Amino acid sequence: MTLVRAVGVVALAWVVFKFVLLPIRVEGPSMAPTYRSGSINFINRLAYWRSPPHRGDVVGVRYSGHSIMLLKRVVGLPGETVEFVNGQLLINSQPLSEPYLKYESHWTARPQHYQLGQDEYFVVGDNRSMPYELHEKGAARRERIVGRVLL
Amino acid sequence: MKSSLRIVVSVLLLVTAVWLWWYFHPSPETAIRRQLTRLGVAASFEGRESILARGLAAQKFGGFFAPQVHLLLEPRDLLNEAVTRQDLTELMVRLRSLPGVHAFKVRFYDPVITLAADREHASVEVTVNAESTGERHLFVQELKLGMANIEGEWLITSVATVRVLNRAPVQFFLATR
Repeated sequence: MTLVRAVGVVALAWVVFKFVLLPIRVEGPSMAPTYRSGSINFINRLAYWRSPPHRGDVVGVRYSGHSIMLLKRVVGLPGETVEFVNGQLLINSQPLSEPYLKYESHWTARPQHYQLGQDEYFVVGDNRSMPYELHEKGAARRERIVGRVLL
Repeated sequence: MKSSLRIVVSVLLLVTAVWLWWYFHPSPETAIRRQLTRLGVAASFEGRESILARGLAAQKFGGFFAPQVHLLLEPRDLLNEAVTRQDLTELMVRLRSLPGVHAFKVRFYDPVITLAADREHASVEVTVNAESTGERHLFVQELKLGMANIEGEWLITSVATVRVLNRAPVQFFLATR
């Protein structure tokens, strides 16, 4: 009986950590200081089962699979325009309040702005003190967003 | 007792035969996955190499590609769009000769294989991760590989980079620090 229980627990853990809560290890500085390099977290794959990603969510963006993902914050929603002016993020030309930002930023992306498609979300890290070119950011298609970070 | 032993031995022989058949007659998907694993090993190196070892390793790396390979890489000026196997071999020699690069490890993750109707051609979406000393994710990129079964071996016929995040035109962005 104990063996059956143990097998059941292992099977349940396998299903949960394989299909629902993907364990991740954060690497790199782009989400600092919110998520530091080396920290462990989980991606909740059911978060967007019935609702789309929201602004401010921290999400996992997949490559060809789930082994390596980008951890980024959703700041722009489908159909919106995104631009950076002197470190301020503008959505549809209106400044967005971002209380999660702790470092100073001087990014400027004028005169062009990014126009998101109907299936695109603009994602960017919280560490915008990094040089603009070294920071991976841009529009992620909905199907590439794996889920929301749990903790 | 004797008959039960016979049954066990028969089952073991059957399992071994099935495994051997599977190993030597892999499905195209399995053959492609194995080929990518071997390619990762061929592209990796550790420690200083002699010129001869470097040349042989680069030659082996080139052997994973068709004689003509179509490249579509970003930035576009990294390589010409059409290259030969020899070009790639020379590129690998140059990479292995870079000063300061003493170790380089390449791995392919999550291949998504789509076979053509003839089962002799395939499109493979895969994530390549390169790590060097002290940098676990020196280079991460999703690639779309075209592969073809040429004389029994799955060789790469095209390589294209896939954008995970679409970016606005870079020339309009000005970084101030």
